[in-house]
Amino acid sequence: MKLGVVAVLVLVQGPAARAATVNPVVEGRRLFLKMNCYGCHGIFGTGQIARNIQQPDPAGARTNITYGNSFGMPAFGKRLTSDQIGYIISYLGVAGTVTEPRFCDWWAPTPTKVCP
Amino acid sequence: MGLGLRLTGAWLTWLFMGAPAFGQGAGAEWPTAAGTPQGSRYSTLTEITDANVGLLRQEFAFPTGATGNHEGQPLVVGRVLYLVTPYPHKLIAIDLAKPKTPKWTFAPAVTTVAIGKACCDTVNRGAAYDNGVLFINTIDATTVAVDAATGKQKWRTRIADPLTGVTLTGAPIVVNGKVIVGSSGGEFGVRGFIQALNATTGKLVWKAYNTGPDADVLIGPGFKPYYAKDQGTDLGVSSWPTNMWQRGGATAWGWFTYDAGTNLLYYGTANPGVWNPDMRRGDNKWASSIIARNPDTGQAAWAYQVTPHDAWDFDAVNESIAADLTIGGVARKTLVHFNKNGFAYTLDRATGKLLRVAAFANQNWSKGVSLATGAPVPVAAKTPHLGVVAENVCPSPLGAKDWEPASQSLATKLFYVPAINLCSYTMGLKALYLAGAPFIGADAHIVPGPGGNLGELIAWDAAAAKRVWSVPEPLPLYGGTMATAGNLVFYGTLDRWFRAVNATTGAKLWEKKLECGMASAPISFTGADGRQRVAIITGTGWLSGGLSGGACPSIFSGSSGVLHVYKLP
Repeated sequence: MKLGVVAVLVLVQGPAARAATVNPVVEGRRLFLKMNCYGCHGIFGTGQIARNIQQPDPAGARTNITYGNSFGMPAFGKRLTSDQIGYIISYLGVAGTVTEPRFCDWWAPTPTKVCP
Repeated sequence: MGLGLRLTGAWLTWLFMGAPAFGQGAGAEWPTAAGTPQGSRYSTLTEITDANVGLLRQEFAFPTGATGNHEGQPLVVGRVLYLVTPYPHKLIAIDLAKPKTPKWTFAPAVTTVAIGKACCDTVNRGAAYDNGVLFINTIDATTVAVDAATGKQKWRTRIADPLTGVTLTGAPIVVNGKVIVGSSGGEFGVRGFIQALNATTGKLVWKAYNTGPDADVLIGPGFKPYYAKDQGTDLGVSSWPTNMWQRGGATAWGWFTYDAGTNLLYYGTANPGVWNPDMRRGDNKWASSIIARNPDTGQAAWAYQVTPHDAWDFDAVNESIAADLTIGGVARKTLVHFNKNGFAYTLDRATGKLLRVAAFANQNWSKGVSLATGAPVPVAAKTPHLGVVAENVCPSPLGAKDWEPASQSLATKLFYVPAINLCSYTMGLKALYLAGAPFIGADAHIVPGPGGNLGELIAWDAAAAKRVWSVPEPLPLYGGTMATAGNLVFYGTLDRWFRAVNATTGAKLWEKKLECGMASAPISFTGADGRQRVAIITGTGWLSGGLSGGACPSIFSGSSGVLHVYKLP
C-alpha cells in the first residue's frame, strides 16, 4: 500500500516535475525563435523564404535541422543538442493547431508576449 | 531660308531648354535598366500617344521559362531584346525581326544554396549593356559578362560566398568602362558594399563598404556631406554599438543612377541590421542613406542619411533620378528620390542639399523632415522596441514605395510613383547572430492602410513637392512605371492589368488583362520595322503573390512568366 502510494507519486510527480523545468513545446518554440528559424519559415512556421514546416515528418525534420540542405538551410547539428532538436520538432508538431504557443519574447524566463 | 529659320529656331529652343533633357530619354533602344543612366524611365518615342493608345495590339508573347517574381525589365540594343529571368537566371536574346525562337539563351551555373539566402524571392532586376557585352548578376553572388552577339560567356567573377548570406539581385550599371554591382542580404547579418569591376576583364577596380571605417567606405578628403548630422570621422563605426557595423546590413540591392555632368554615381543603402533598433543604438551609418561616389575611384563625394537609426526597414535603395528642374524660378540639377518611409526628397545632386521634401503617401512614423537639419522627427509611439509592439505604423516594412521604380516625363515634368498603402504592427525581438542564418530580430504583422486601396499610382511634382493626381489601385503596385513622350504612363498591376494612363491627367486610356500579375517595369523601343513598341513581363513570386492570392504562375503549373510586346496596327 505504502509502496503503491509511492509508485503513484512517482508516476504523477516525475513527469510533472520535469515539465516544470522543460516543456518541450515551449522550449521548442523558444529555440525556433532563438535560432532565427522564423526568418525563413515565418513566425509560426507557415513558410516564407522557405517552406511551411508545421507538423513535419519528425525524422525528416531532424535530418534537415541537423545537417541543413543544399537549398540554403543551415546545419544546426553543432549548435543544438539532440534533445533541443527534439524540442523544436515537438513545437512544430503542434504548430498551426489550437495548442500552439504564440509568444514572441523567447528571451524571457517565462515568455508571455504574443506576436503582433 | 524659311526652313533654315525653323531649324535655327528649334536649335535655339533646344539650347535654351537644356540639351541634357534629350539625353535623359530613351529613343529607339532601351540600353540600360532605367532607359537612361539618369534613371528617368522616359521614352522619347511619339508614335503611340494619348490619342491612339486604345488601338494597341499584341505583336508577340514570349514565355520566359521561369516562375517567380520577374522584377527586371528587358534591354533593347540594335534590333535585339535581352531579358534575364528570376532564378535560374537565363539570359535570353530575342531578334525582334524573328521573335518566335530565341537568337540565343545563356544559362549560367547557379549554386542552389543561394536560394535559401534570398530574403524576398530569387529575383533579378535586369541586365546592363556596354560595348557589345551584357552583364548580369546571379543570386549566388556572381557577376557574369556575356557576348551580346554570340551569347558566350566572356568572364565570370564571384563577388562573395553566398553561404555567408550575401546574394546579388540588382541590375548592374556600366559607367566609364566599369561594371558597378551592389550586394543584397541585409536580413542575414552581412556587411553591405558596392564594387566596380573592369568591364573587359571582370577584375576588381574598387570596393566600397557601406559601414565601418572611412577607409573601407572610401571616404576621404573629398567627402563633403551637406548636413552636420552626416559629418565626422569614421561614423560608420562610431554610430554603432561595438562591432555591430560588421553585420550591419546597409546593402545596396536597388538601383544605380549616373549623371555625366557631375560624374557621380548615385545609389541608396538598405536598412541597418538587425531590425530590432534597441540592439544598435546610434545613427547606424551608412544604412538607409543616399551616397554619391566618383565612379572611377569609388571615393564618396557626399552622403545623406535619409532615416537615421532606422527602426522600420526603410531602405533607401529606391532609385534616385537625376533630373533638371526649375525650383522657385531657378534651374537646379536635382536628384529625386521616393523613399520607403513615405517622403519624397528633391536634393541638389552636386552637394546633397535637400531642396524640397514632403510626404507623398500616408505615413505616421514621423512628424516630418527638417529642411534645416535634413533629419526626420520620429514619433516615439510608432517606434518598435524589444518586446514592445509599435501599433499601426505606416508605412509597413514594404514601404510606401519599395524598389519598384518611378519614372519622370520630360514633357509634363512630373514623376510617376508606384505606391503601396500598407501599415504594420511590429515588435522588436532579441536576435543572435548565426552565420548564414537570418538575422532579423523583429516580427511585423502587415495590415491594410487607410482608405480601402492597397496601392496607388501617384503623379508628383518634385519641384513643388506636391501631388498632382493619383489613381487608386486595389492592390499594392509592385512593379515600375514608364512615361513616354506620347503623354502616357504605362504600368502593370498585381491584379493582372497592364495599363496606360494620360500622363497629364491620370485618365485611364488603355488596359489589357494578362495571365498573371506584374512586378516588372515596362519599356519602349522601336522594332525591326522602325515603329514603336511597348513591352512588359508578367510573373509574380511568393512575396508579391502573398499580396494577391498566390504566386502566378504557380511553381507547379508548368507555366512561366511571359514577355508581352505591343504595337499599333
